[in-house]
Amino acid sequence: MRKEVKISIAIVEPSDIIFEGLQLFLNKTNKQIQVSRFENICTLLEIVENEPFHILILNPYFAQAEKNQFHRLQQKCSNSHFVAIVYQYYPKEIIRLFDDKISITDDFATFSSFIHKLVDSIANIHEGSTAEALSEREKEVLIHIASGLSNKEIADKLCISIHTVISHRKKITEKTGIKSRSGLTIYAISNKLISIEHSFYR
Amino acid sequence: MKKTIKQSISPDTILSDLILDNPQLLLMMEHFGLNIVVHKDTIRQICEQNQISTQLFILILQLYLYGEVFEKQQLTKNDLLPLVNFLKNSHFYFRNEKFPEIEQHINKIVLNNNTPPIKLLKQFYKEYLVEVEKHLTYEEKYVFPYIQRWIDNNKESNDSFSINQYKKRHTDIEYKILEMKNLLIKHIELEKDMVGRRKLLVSLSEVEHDLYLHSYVEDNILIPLIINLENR
Repeated sequence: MRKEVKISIAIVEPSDIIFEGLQLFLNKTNKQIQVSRFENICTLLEIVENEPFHILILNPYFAQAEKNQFHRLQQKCSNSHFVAIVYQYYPKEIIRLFDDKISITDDFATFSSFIHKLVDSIANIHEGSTAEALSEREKEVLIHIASGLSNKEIADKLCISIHTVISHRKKITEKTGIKSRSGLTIYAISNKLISIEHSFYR
Repeated sequence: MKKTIKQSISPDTILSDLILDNPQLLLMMEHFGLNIVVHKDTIRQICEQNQISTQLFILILQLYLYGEVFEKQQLTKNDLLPLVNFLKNSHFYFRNEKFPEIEQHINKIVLNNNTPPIKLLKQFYKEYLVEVEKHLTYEEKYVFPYIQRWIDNNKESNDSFSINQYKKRHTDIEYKILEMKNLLIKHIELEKDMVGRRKLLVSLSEVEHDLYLHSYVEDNILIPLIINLENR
């Protein structure tokens, strides 16, 4: 069954008003989001290795005043999306260190559409890596299953062990939600991996 | 669909209120062989009129409402008869109502879309029916008569059947229904008859859910009760 990816966000922002406002807006977007707050980059750096965040929202002040720490954070969180929360002037080269920015003058509609796009794109990346999208090897195994070969025959054909064939089959089932040979054959034919004439249904 | 918020259900709960809010209970009533017109009767009254213990009735009621039951069961040998009748009636529902209904939906879609995947789905379903028929027949041939022997006090100490054999044999019969749903929702493109596909998916989901509840009753209510009796 498909699991919705819960997006985790770390906010590094010293002002209570700004933080509370951000949190309120984030809640109002109705997205599955988990927010954590950090006083400064140091405290975030301590835990970020064990608990990576999808999105980091930071006051650009930290990028300017704590350059080294910020640089370390970027290295450690190369997969996270860095967003600046801007409410005063910062030089362009500071803002450029971030992937995106939100401004304190943004209205809710702008903010919400930004968050929606961001969250959806992150969720897509995560689903893409776990669900569907069979690897080339898995497709090969699937085609042999659909053409009626046994695990042993597939193993011989691909010069791999039966154990490996079984583990490919498990992965295929996880990804497609289909376990039986007949079901997998219909999957393979629907996705044009094999023609009906070459399947065991011929 | 309105859903009753989890509430405590007691023998004094008025059943009609629950059924109004939870139409899935209609099927449960049918499986128990009960009349749907329950006036303003309480669960206790209905159970007394129909020789079903309130424990068993509330247990299955909760299962139909919440999809599982948590309370410790205090069922007795007297619950075997209504339980077996419940299971027999649900077999009838699958065989005579749901399975043919699904077949009709598929046939209609195949008529409108003559493509290999949907034709194969029809074959897939036929194979499934053979498999599920084996499952149902096994229960009717071995399990229900065994339970009947318990009910009739006719069980010999050297009975050739034991519930453990059944427990080991009991397989997951709703899995292939889920496979069909996966194929229909994710992979099989249709050119025509989207309404047919929707109807098919709804029927499949209904049968999948009731098969799940059916197995739940067998695995978590019937089998433990029999094991308890066997061990006595």
